[in-house]
Amino acid sequence: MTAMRTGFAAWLWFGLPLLAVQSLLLFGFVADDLPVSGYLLRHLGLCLAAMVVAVGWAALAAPGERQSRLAVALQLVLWMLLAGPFGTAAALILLAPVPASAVLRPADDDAPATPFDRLEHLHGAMLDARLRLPDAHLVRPLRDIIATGSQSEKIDALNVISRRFSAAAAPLLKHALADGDGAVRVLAATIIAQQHDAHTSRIGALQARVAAAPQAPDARAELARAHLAYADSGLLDAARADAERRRAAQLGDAPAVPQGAEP
Amino acid sequence: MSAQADICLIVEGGYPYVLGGVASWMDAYMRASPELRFHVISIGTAAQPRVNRYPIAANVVGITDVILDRCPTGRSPSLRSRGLRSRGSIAPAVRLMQQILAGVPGPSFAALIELVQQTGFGQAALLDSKPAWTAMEAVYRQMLPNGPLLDFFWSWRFLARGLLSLITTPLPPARIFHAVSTGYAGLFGAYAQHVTGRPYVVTEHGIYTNERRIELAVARWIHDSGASGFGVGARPPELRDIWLAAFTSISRIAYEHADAITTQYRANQHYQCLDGAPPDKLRIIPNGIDVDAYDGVRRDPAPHPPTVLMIGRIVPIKDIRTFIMAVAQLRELVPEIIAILIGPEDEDPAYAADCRALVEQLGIAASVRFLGRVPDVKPYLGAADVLALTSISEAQPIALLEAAATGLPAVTTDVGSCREIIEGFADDPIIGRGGFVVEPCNPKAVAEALAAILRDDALRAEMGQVMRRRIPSLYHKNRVKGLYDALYTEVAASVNQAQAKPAYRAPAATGQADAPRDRVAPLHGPIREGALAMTGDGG
Repeated sequence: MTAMRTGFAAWLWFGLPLLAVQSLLLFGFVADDLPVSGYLLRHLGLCLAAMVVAVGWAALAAPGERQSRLAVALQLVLWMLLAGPFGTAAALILLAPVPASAVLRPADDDAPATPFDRLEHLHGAMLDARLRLPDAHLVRPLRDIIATGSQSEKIDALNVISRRFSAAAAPLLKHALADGDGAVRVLAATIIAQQHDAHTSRIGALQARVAAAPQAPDARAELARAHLAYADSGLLDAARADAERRRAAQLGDAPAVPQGAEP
Repeated sequence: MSAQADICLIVEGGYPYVLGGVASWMDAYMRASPELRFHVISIGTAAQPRVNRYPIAANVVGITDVILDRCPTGRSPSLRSRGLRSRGSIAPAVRLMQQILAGVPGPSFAALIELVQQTGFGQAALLDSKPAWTAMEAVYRQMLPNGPLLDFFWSWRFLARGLLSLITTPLPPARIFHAVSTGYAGLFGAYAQHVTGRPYVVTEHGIYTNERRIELAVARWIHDSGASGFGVGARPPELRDIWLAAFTSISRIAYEHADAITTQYRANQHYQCLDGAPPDKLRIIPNGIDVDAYDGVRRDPAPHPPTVLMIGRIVPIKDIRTFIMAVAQLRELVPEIIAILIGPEDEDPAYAADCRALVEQLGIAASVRFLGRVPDVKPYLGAADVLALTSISEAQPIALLEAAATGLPAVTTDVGSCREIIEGFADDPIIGRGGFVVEPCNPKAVAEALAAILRDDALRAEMGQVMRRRIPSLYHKNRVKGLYDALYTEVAASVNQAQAKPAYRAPAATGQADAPRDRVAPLHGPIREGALAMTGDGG
């Protein structure tokens, strides 16, 4: 259906005049200006002409777009054939593009799904030094609690974050660092420190592995992935996250080195 | 039985087996009060190494170890003679323990002490017997209906055994009992106060319940059912809640029995009130230092690279990693910077090793020096340009007070009373700031604040002067000693000694698995005047 919608705009100018002609024919039939056989002959002829024009138009399209144009045309003619002007109108409505805001997208739209996406994601992040936080929408209830809850509610929310930490929760922890309650600040700081410790300890251990076997590609790749995980953790500011990505790139993880990026 | 002590200090997980923090404070406090004789109750677990980390002060007349996970076996609940009647008191005893641990203690604590003393029950009757198991099952159905019985069983066993261990410990003869936290130490003080009628004081450096809340929130050994998903509203009780209720409850008991409750700074009193401390018992007594000794330290006039000093144990709560990462960023602003870390590394060797590895990882080995423990920090305070303290949690850090007394500006995280020390407080006679306070876990903020001080000689001198003037007015050892003396006098007067109960007689030690141990130190000479000087890195 999405592919069909891409060819819709081109056919709008074709569909609307067709609707007008179909409506005139029906009006003539209802007003007894046309007999049944005359109406049916004209209706079939109009459908045939529309089909020819549609196929011709589709044939003129670029190869990548040809199939979607043809699909839209056939749908339009089929609806027109079956229900006259009502079918044409229904086809135009059904094939109308849905607003982008109403389209359901996967929750982690920003998250790389394939190795190629990952490369693009990494490239974009390095170029614009922007922090991308997938799953950010999941943490809104926790954000509300951190902002307005009681001390015990805030501590419970931080407990949830501690157990299921994701990059999206990092801004919540930073927000909690400025809380008016000292216990909340201390807990937030404890969680942040634990997360930093986990990343830096892992990186340190992998660095030791790489130092012990500098030519081992697996160790280098794993170290690069650890740097990338730290960069994407949401714990670092943009400059430090970028530095971690560059460290990963320097390790020679070939797919991670974007075209044109500085070493 | 050891000799009569003036003060029985009660501590959990600290002196004399742990360095730093409250243990350092206790050691300094006892040494600075040679006119007083002390007995120490040291509460810990069997797994905790019990190796003295301090030379015991001459005025310590005895140390009693209380092992929370070992309690006396006690009398068996046999069916012979009085057995049938006493077996009937097992379930009520378990219900009393439930009330104490579930947050509704009321008179249950006193009732349990008396019941245990009357029956001679211990672990055999109240934890290992069939009636105790049946009673525990009933408690489980009320407290953790949706949780695993096995998890509840082990939690209950530890908490109840700790409770029994405390209230079956023979009490040393002392004029005043002084717990240096709530929790188990505070509960022991409440037990001593109930049994002997002697004055009882609680001093809290950090707020025990807050610290336990934080520990429990990040504890990986507690299983969460996940029944509440991401929700934090109405939800079934979790094992974590059982523990938290127990800690909150025993702290409340400590507050109820105490004659006075002290802490170092005002913000803590808010939490104490929330936990049930009666406001009329609250006092503020800050930490004290030997201002004269530190005021004499002079800045080294010789040219030297900009130097930032950190003093503290190399442990996670000091967040040394943030300091190291800050130094890495500071090098970009002040390239010739030297960072010196002073503090023992043996408390958490793995963390210390990680910190050293991080220095290598960041390529700043030329700028960072780990000196370990040093005999005297004064020469380093004189040679440094600024003190850094990146702790996640503190109370009132002695290291900051000592550095401030030498006129050293500081950059600290916004924890404990650091902001009060650096920026002053309402009605503070000394106006001005002695450094910068930044949010925790923010290396960039630490680096920028350090750079601001290091790059501006006039600002550094001005901040140093503010610090040097602020410390003597509030944190001088003589002032602090006077406050403690007055407190002891006050609580002693408030307790009618004539009504104090007769000398306490320890219960017979029947089949004790690992009975509390008395270690008697030699008696000492006549009481003489002494000064209160506390040193170390403890808050």
